[in-house]
Amino acid sequence: MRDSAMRSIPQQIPVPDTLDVESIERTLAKLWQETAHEREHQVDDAVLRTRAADLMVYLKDESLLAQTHQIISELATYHPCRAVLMAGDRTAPKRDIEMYVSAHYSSEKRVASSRLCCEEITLTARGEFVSELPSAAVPLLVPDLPVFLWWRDETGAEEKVLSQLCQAADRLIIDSADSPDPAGHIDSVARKLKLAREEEIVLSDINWARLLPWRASLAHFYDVQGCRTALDQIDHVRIDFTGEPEKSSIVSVQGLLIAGWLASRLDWKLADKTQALASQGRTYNFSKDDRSVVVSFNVIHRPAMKTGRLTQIELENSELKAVFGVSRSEDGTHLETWTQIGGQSYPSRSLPVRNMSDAQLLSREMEMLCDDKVYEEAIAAAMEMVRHR
Amino acid sequence: MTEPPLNPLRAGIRLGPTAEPCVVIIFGGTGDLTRRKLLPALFRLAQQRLIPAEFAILGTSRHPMSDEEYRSKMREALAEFSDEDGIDEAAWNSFAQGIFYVAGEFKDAESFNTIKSRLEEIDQQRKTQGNRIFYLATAPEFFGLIAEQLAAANLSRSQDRAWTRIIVEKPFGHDLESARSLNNKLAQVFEERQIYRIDHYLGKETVQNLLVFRFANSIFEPLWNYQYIDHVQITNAEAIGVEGRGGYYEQAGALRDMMQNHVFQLVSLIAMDPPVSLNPNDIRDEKFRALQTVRTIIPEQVADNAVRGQYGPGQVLGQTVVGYREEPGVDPHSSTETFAAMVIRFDNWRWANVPFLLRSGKRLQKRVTEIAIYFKEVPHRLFSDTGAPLEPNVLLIRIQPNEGITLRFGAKLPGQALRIRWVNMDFRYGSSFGVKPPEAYERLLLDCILGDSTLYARRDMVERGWEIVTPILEAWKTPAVDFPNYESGSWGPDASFDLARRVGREWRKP
Repeated sequence: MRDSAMRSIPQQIPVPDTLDVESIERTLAKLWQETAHEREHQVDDAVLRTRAADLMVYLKDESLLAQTHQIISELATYHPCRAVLMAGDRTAPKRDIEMYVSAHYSSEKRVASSRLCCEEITLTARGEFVSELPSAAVPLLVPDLPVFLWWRDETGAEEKVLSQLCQAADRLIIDSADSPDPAGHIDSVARKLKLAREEEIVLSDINWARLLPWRASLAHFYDVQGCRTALDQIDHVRIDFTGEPEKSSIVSVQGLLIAGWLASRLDWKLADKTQALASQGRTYNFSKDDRSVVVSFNVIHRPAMKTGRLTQIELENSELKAVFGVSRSEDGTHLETWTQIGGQSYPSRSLPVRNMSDAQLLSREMEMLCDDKVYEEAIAAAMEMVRHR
Repeated sequence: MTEPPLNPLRAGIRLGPTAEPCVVIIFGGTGDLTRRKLLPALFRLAQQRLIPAEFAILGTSRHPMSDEEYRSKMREALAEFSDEDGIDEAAWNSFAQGIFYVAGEFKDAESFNTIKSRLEEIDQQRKTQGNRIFYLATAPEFFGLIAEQLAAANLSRSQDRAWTRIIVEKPFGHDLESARSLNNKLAQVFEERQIYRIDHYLGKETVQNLLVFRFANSIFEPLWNYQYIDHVQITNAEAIGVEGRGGYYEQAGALRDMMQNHVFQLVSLIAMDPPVSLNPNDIRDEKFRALQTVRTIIPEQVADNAVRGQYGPGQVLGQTVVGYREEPGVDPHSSTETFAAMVIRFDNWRWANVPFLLRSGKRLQKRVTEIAIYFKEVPHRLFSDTGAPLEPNVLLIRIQPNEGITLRFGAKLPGQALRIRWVNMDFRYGSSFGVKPPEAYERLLLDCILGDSTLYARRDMVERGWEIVTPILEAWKTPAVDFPNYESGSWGPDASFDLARRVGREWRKP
């Protein structure tokens, strides 16, 4: 069983006129020595200082710090790293950069009898001093390691800070899941994609990673040769997601992403601007060759699940009476797939789907260093749909 | 035959290749290997969506039972041998719908006709498209017979776009003659591309990492030859004894059980030249080519180049244990070796005059499999008066446990005086990537379903391995007069240390 403990020495380091990177490194080294000395009396193993990546995290304010510390603590198990956290609140009264360091270690025995550890440097600033955060944070990165930037500010107010941090990063990670304005969020993602291309870095979306089990399940239908004839002539797609039925005009980000993915992969073109509303949700008309494909979204009320999460997807070929379905079980713990073609059933299955933690999702993004063209094309297709609102 | 259309939804980096629908027919379906390794591995693959819903297992053995009874037994096996915390019942229930059983005897042709009929039913029910993998998880003496019966029942070749493969467990034969005979029997029934000879060491993450380590980094290859490397040591040590399998081990011994297959696979990965591509046969061509140049040990040279041993009583990891001859199923006067060490040399430009020291044994001090590459000493000793003897650089590749790679080099101790200490620069899988690597059988089974034979042993490699050890096997037919000759919990017989000293080297203490 995994057991992770965080040791933190919130050493306050006053920031002089010029940033003293060496004093920070000395403080970190001292932290390690103290931790190792403390652990010597408890366990036989030395504390292993390990870093396989640099992770910068930008938070829109300090309210997210505690949660982010927890995430980093768990993340250290998968990706020991130097984490540089920045919390900037431009609306608050100005306050110069304050900095403190802490460390995380894991007591998980399975890991080569040593302790995984990583170090965290937190910088906070308020008011105009927020602009100085990138120049304070970037010199603290450990050289020769991949650099990830996790951007946790969807206000859009710190585009310059974002641009500066992107210059030091290899990958920009966002999470499009929780926006109350999905369409606006897709637009924001598209702009970040543009920025990423300009800075020659890669954009990653944690919400896209959440869709992987759905995409894998849908992709699997196309692996079965006996189903291809029916699948190649799909004429209706139904996508259900959680939400409040009275807000049925809003299509969740997950719904837009999965529809954008299907459209881009299967070469569907948005047919025309549609204002048609079903009794719940929204309908889009696509075309492929001379065939129409209707994609309809439906809001399902499931209080136990977060808003905007997919609950069911069905691909239908009405002529051949074929249905290919993926649905999340009521308790949310499994994805169930089924296939029916002309009254004949194919093997169904139920596979566990875990609600992965933020750390686990972040960890997945940090495993990849190359770009994800499939995601970029899905975003572009989703943008097309958003523009047709 | 036209290729099936590509799956447009599988494009991209996150959705890897998927296995095609198939049935895995396990001969020895109630045996230890199936329960401990195969079933848990297949279930894990299913849970990770790496094998499709259109998948089935058909177990077969002598014992009559229904499909439901067999599913129940497999469920028990999963509970006992899976290292997951608990079993997902919904996932198991849907997986179990694809598990079937048929009783039969290998000698009975009618059993194979029954298997054939059953497979046709499964194809209909599970949409497995006629793809088959026959897994021979049986004693090796049945391999040839099963292959013949499959041919007689017209099960060895596939129809239309379907494929048929066969997985054969080690040992592949008992010696060169039997290995060739087995290979010939298989070849009469199957094409080489259909035959997958399993060596589970090749499924281990660190073993696969050897290819990446050598050929994805430019800094090592220029040093990877006689000019810079002094010698190579490969140690494959087990702390356990024969674990109740004395009857099998009496017919095998360390040379057959480990050296001729696992250790030689590691030798070939270290000694090979870069392949021209990652095509399985290109890699296996280079591995075979390396083994081809191993110098033949003529009978008169066996005593100087090979050592055998047998463990006596002793203490291992805090436990007092009996000697080999006291183990159940073992002849009290047995001459079977539980330890083998040998020195091999290569007749090629890359490895001329670089001895490879190999050892493998049971009831040694601890469990470890490692490859130690010793570099030559510096040509001129500048630091002879630094308070410590100059040591060679060592590149250590740990296969198990604590998988990883260590480079040992000299560094100056801080201070006024010029003093050198030897330090390790460590990469450990567990620390650098804090995730559990897949089990070897998961990787190997998936590869076979995907049709990738890179990690499987080819016929020529198997037979070459036997060729190399044949003179030693012949010499060791003479009963050993000094057995047991090493204490359990030691690092093997004294003669193995003499073996290393004869070539001017010393064994590492792992």
